[in-house]
This record gives sequence, C-alpha cells and structure tokens, in this order.
Amino acid sequence: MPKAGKRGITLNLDLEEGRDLFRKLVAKADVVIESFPPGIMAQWHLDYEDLSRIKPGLIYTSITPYGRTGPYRDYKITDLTALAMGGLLYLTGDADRPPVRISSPQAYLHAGAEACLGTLTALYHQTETGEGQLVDVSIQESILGTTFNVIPMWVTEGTIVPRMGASRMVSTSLEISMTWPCKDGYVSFSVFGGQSGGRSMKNLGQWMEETGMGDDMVSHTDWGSFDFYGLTTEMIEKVSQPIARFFAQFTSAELFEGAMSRGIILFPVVNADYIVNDPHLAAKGFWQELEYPGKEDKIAFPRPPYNINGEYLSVKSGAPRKGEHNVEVYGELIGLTPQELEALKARGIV
Amino acid sequence: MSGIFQGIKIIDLSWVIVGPRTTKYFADQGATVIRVENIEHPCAIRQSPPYKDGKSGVNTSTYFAIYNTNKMSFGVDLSHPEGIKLVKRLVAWADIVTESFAPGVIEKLGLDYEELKKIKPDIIFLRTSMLGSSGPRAQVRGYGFQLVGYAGFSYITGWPDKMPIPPFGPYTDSIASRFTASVLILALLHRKRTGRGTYIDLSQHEAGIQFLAPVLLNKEINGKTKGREGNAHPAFYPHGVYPCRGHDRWIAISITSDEEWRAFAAVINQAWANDPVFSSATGRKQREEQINSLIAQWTATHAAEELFTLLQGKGIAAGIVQNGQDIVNDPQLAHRNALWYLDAEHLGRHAVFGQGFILSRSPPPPPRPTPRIGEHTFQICKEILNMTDEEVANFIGEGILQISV
Repeated sequence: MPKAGKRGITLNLDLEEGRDLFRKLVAKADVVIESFPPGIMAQWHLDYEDLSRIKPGLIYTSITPYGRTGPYRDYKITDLTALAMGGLLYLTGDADRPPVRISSPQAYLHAGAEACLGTLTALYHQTETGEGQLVDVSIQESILGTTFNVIPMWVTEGTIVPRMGASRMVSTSLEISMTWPCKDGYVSFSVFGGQSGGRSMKNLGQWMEETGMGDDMVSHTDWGSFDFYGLTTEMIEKVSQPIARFFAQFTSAELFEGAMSRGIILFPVVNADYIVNDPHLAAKGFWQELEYPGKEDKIAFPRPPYNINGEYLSVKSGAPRKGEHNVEVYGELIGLTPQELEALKARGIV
Repeated sequence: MSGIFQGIKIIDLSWVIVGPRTTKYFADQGATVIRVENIEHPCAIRQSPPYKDGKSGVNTSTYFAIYNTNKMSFGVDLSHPEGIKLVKRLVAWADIVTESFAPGVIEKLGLDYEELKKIKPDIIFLRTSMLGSSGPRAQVRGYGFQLVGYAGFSYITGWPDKMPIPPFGPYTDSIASRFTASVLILALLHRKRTGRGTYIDLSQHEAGIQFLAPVLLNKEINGKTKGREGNAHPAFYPHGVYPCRGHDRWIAISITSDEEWRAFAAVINQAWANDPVFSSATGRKQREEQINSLIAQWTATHAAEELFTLLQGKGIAAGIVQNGQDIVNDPQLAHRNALWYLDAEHLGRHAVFGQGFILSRSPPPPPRPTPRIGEHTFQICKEILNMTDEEVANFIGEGILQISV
C-alpha cells in the first residue's frame, strides 16, 4: 500500500557509475527522500551538501531511527523499539503484564506522515524563496505525538501516566473503562462528562429505561454539568455495573445501531473482516480496485482519506514491480535509450 | 515574527485535538492562527488535566497548551447572529478556515463552505469529523477515544488470551492531524498555482485506517483476519518486552537476524544462550516461550538504561520502554530540542512539542505561549476588524464578544 501510485526503478548505488546516474536523476528532481542509516549517503557523496550543489533548491528528506545527529544517531530501531523509545508502548497494555504494541507496525507510518509534512513544509518554503533544505526526520520523535497528555503530566504534575488495560487514566485519580464486553464481542464506550458526554449519557440512560434496565444514577445524574473529565471514580464505579449488564444483552451491531439513532457515543470494536465490508465505507466509494501481482481479480485498496471538492482522491496505480519503470523513467528524465539501459543492466548498474 | 507560513491567516473553528494540532503546525511556523472559542462551551482539552497547580479551569491546562502555542484566541458567541457576522468578517481576511464539528453543525451556523465562498471565493476550507460529512453514518458523533475501536486498532492490540485493549488515548487523532496539515499545504500550493480555493473533508476513521492498510490488504489478498499477537513478530525471534531492575521498568528487544542473535547471546554470556538449537530463527521460534522466559530472567537483573547502551553497542535494536519522565530526560530528544519549555502566568513552566522533523534552514521561531480563552478578542477586533473601542465594548456588554477573565 505505501508504494501504490509510484513508479519503480532499480539502481546500484554501490557502483560509482550508478551514483553518477543518480546524480543525473537528482538534477531533474524537486525532492530526494532516503532512509539509509546516518552516514551512508555521505559515504557515497550523495548527501544533502553534495546533491544540493547539483540541484540548487533541492529538498532532501532523511528518515533515520533517531535523527542524523546526537548520542543515539547510530542506534538501530524496529517498530517495537521505536514505540518503546517514543513513549507509546509504555502506555498500552495491562498493568500486570508487559507493555504491548499494536499488532501491525505503526512507527514507520508515523515517521512517514511526519516526513510527508516536513517535505511539504520545505516545498512551500522553496516555492516562496527558492531555498531548499535538509529535512531531518527522527522515527523516535515522530512517536511523541501519540502520547497526548503524558509529557505535560510529568512536567506539570510529576505524574507518570501508567497503562491501564482496557481503561485509560485521565488524571491521577480517575480510571475510565474504554472497552466493554457485549453479547458477541466488544464496544468502545466511556462514561464522561461535559456537553457532549452529558448528552450521550442521558440518551443511554433513556435507552436503558425503555428496555426495563434503567438505572437511577445513569438516568438522573446531570452529566453535562461536569467537566469533560470531572467525574469521580466512585460515580464511574456506580454506573459501570448497570451499563455493563445492559451492554451484555446486545450484540455490538445492535448497540452501534441503537447508539447512532439515539446520539450515544459508542462504536463497535471491529476487525479487518468488518472494515473491508463496512457499509459506510462501501457507500462512500472508499475502496479503489487495483491490479495486484499474482491475482486475477482486482484488489480493493483504501483510498486516501480526503474528499476534495466533492470527490475522493484516487491512487494512480498499484505498487510497481521491481524496475517496472526503468525504461520510462531513465528515458524521460535523462534520455537513456533502451539499448543503453540494457548495457547498464548487463554491468549490474540498473 | 518569522517562519515559513508568515502571512498565512487561519480561522480555526475546530476543537479537541485533530483540528488544533493541524493548525499548530502552521502557527509554529509563523502563520496567524485565530482560534474561535466560546467561554460557555470551552474546548474539551481546556478541561483536561494536567492543570497549573492542580486547579482546573479553562486557562490552566498544560495539555491544551501543547496544541495551541503561537495562536490567538477570539472569544465569541456563535449562537448569536452578530457573532456569526463577526466571524464572517474574519473569514474575508483569512486564507484557511478549519472546523471539526459534527457534520451539519457548520451548515446550521451558516459558516459552511458554500456560504464562506461567497465572502472569500478562494478560501481553503477544511472540515474533519469522525466518519466524514458524507455517507450513511456521517452523523455519528464521538472522539478518537472511541473511534479506535471502529478503525480496527483495539481489536489487534493486546494479548491473544485477553480482551482487546485500546491504544493509548485518542490514537486516531495523532494520525488524522498529519493528513490534514499536509493537505492544507497542498491546498496553499494549489491556490498559488491556480488562484483557486479548495474544499477538504477528512474522515478521521479513514485516516486511521491508512495505518492498518497492511492488515486490510492481508484480508483482501490472503483472506486472513489479524488478531491480537502480544509483542510477537511474524519473522523476528525473539521480539518482546522484558522486565528490568526497578519498578515497572522494561526493555524492548528485537532480534532481526541470526547474526544479531549471536551478538545477543555473547552479551548474555550464559550457557543456554549458546545452545546451537537457538542459532536459527526456526529454532528460536519453536522455543519462543522458553527463550522469552530465559531472557526475562537475565534482563531482570539489569537496569533498562544499562541494557539499552550495552545492546545498541553490539548493533542490536533495543529500546527502553520510556515513560513520561524518561521522555523528558531523553538525551537524544534533548539534543534535537524536541521539547520546548515555556513559561506563562496561567500555565506555569510547561513543556510543548512540535514536529518530528528538523528543517536545516527554517527552524521554527521561538514560540509564544498558548493563549487564555478570549485573550486576543480585543486586539483582533481593533487590528483586523478595525472596530472602535466603543463598538468592541458594546459587543462585550451584550455577551457577543468575550474577553479572558
């Protein structure tokens, strides 16, 4: 998926001839993005300083585990260790077990999102001033944004926010359950106050009453008069049991339908099977059929999440096969003929 | 003032996290960002801990502060037609309008794209909501806290033998806000090239789903529905989080090749680690449970910091499982100036942070602290709307405009 919509070429940067070809391509480029460990591109004389001489105004985005300089610059990273060093891992999991990651890699995607934003920021500057620059992206640092109030909690209060299983801590004294069992799975729901929380709680209270499972405290507390997080643990404990009993009577689909029609903030906990069949996404045309190597049928890819001027963006094509666009790209950008490319291929350069 | 986006003007009608974090990127790089706020209905994050001196109030949250540096706050009652008129006058001056109400609300206020286009034909308009503003479930309300379940994250987070665990906080907010900020830059570049504005509608659900594309494609292509796998990895053994000396201290270790395993075994320097049965990934996979428990016994006698340095020195991807205090004291993040410390009367000394990238030529200018609610109402009325003192006083008297208290 991250490679969809791109053209793909091969090039052997270990050879000087390959590096020469790369320099010729850079002369035609606006942006270079690389994710080699720090120092590799410099060894090849392809670092920002080298390339910006070839292409003034070049934007050079470098994605490294911890950044290009600093005490950890040469350290290795994986998804798990990036989430650990960036602060997200500590916060996820049960209190009585080790911290746990999301089972599909996230860290590189956060770094990619940050690199995209940094590159576009630099590109905007370039169009205003003509100046290029180096965009130095740290995978570790790109995780910090997922820690929400954790850094303020330490700096302002001296509190270490712990992990709390299916609950979350919103202050030093308050624990709210975020995931609740229902008849056939789980739902995402939380007891909270403030304007929108208050409305949601009131509507839930009514629904419970209608089904003969009403609870005095759920129905008759003025939830809206509290701050967003201004409830006490005692209040939450008291209403949790009747709400849990209510949820246990219904499937996640029934609860979601009921919540949608009554204005209750609740979502089902869903898996991949649900998402690829989600009626909302299907009705919106979120999926885009693309060819996939080795598959006869086209595969439904998620589109970018934007509706622009009333239409979804589309992906131009599926991921390229290795070297699929060698002839096209080398031809268009630096005028190489297919014969010249064949000769380069024979020498192991492309 | 300086910064890459100096001269760009943003009217920010959004709240909570996705919208404010989006406009923060611009504010931190010099854009003029006006948050339109109402003291009667303050942003949920203004009411979220921690607070200066532990006292809750609309101006004291240092959590709110991390998303709102360098912004101005305009206090106005949008339920009053005169309030709407004032906002429209600001839109006539602006380049970008952002909002994150539930779909339909902005239309009711008369501040939707079609209306604003009449005032400012090339306006860039970003709206973002749970599920986007079209489609059968567009009306669904909520927060990222609950959306993580519907976007598929909770289901695949946790242990196979236990219930799903939501990733910490409103996780999808951290994803959506990068998509929104990026697309706004593209819209600015597009306007420059064509003179045209852009309408952008972003579903936070769909933004979150982008980060699960491999899981969805695995379903589409191989028919596999991913479940909760703890910290196990499909190709790396061992791959886990192990206890260290001290209370709730942990080290994450990923062994990605047999060569790394040999280096790791040499560091452990115990007989079991040199058992040839562990020398191949297959062997280690078959005895994953045993190996994990032996590693845990070894790590438990060491400090996480000590293991981190020791293992990284041997080329092994290890990471301290850092808590809030560790992040604040992290020497690498300090080297990159990842956290900025600010002082303000209403917030005390507090930390804010920005982006995961460093721009070699255009670092962000020194930040101004997050405003009190309505702090800049008077200044905005005078300097941007060219109102007289008397006019402003009248609006304040009628409760249409609000100033910080």
